[in-house]
Amino acid sequence: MKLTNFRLFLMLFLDNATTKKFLIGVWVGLGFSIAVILSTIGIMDGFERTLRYGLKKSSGDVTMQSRHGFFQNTPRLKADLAEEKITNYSALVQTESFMIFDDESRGVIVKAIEPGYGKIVELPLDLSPHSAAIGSEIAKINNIKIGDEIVLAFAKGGAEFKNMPSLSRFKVERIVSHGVYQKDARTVYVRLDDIQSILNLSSRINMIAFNIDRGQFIGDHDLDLIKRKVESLDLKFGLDFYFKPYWREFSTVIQAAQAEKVLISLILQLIVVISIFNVLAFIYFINEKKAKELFLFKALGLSRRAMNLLWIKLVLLIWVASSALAMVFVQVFRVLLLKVSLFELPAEVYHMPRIDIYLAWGDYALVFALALLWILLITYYLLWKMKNKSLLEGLRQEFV
Amino acid sequence: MSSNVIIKIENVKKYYGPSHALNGVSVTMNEGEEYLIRGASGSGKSTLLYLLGGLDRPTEGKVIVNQKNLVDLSDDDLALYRNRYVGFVFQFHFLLSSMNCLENILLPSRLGGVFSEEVSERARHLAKLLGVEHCLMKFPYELSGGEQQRINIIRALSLKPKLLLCDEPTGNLDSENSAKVIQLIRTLAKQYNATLVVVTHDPQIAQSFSQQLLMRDGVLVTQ
Repeated sequence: MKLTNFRLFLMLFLDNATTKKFLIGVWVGLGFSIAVILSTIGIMDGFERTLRYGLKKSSGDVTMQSRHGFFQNTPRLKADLAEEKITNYSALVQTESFMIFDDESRGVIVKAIEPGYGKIVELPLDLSPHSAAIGSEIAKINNIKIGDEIVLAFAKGGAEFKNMPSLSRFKVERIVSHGVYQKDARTVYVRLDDIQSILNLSSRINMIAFNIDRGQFIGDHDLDLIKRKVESLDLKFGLDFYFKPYWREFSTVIQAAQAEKVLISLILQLIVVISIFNVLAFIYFINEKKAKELFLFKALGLSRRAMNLLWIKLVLLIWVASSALAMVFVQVFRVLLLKVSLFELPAEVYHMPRIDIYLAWGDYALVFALALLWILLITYYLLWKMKNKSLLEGLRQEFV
Repeated sequence: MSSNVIIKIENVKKYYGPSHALNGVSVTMNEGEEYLIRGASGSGKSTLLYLLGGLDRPTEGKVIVNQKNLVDLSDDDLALYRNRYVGFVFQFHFLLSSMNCLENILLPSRLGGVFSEEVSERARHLAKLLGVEHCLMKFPYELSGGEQQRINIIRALSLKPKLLLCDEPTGNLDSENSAKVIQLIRTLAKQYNATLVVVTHDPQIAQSFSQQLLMRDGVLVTQ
């Protein structure tokens, strides 16, 4: 069978407006259905990825805490960390506090950080003494601007007036965004030396944050790398310290999103199957409308196998075109999700106000392959059914 | 089988469900000769023609063409047989409206993957011979019934078939055009040394054929 046969075959369909419109409808319908599945997977992956990225921006790859509370970053500890190739780390104190501004207060997490912490979390967190960086949602909710002064109230455990809070003023120097609502609504950064002084901690800390040495960026494989690293660190420091990967806090949400992704993808296969029934209807329609031409093709020497191959080529063409169109639709959905206010999410529920669509090549391959599988299965079934129709029967119907 | 016997039909039966279209037909035909099959509507003459053309398979019996039993051929081989060995002229011109006449004529060669300049030249030559050279670039709907049937004949002969099968080739034409078309078919079949089998119930056409087969209720009454 030559390509010219396929051209002749196509010429049959494209000679009238009805068939063209039907074909366009089938193409757009299948493309849209595939795009819906891709977008759903992309939103789930985008949610997980954005959440992880936001969480990473609030703590670095891994945080290390002592089982006994505060601890000293001793030379011995430094040496132990260096053995694990952890040299790029930052010590901090993380505590809870009430932030007071303009006669309103809210509970916040205070992270007292070293100057190098900003590099670990990739946030602009260089702070002057007695200055603070606050999350963007705090700034929005409490209407705080750069230059305003906030008051942080700390409990002074063990001090003489232990029931009285210690109040300290900080000038807001920066407003930062992690991309995760809870972090932006609760985190306040101040300098480590300020807090150590306020809370009489001397040089003690209660947390170390660090990124693992991963060489060049290796994308999603980072997760496995971090998991393995956390396991090995737990084995080494397990008695005194524990380690948390950056997603631990939200791991149930992430697991739920992953499970939902699989379930929704399976359920949405129905949409693709329904669209493929449109392809089926198109083949039936052509067989009825162009029966004369198709039977003439057979009468003039086209075998059933060659004719079936032409049908398969046609559905493959529809599949390729629909897959390409689906990619365009996905980009349109993506722009809508990111730009149109209608698609803005309640961040307090979904943790982030906007979700990007993230799709790996594997996602595209899986969705396209499943659509191909469905389309071929249904087409083969139809061709098998059509096999039983006699050539002469068809010719007679058309000639009479 | 003698050397010039090209078609041998042995006790062929064809059933469509409860309906018996052919009830045991046996006949032989010689190479390069002309045959006419006549009979009333529903007598089985077209069924016999289509079995000869490899458009269908008999329920029972043998259809041997050029020493090959068509019943034994695979679907692919039967398609090849229809493409290379047989030319069909149908009652209705049956030209594709989306293609011009030349493209319609060249359709068998393109479908069979044997298109060449030689085929194209033959088509032009035949068009000139049949007086429809001016129609080649036109679409079928721009042509008269007679012209359309001439194009149909050229398409049937475009690959120099050894068997030319005509099913009521003049059924759609007036008597003047009928005579011309049937004469053209006979002349060209002779020129290509093709065995010609014509199905008709037109008595005027029937008169001019010396070898006639009369069908009645699915059986051959005379040969």
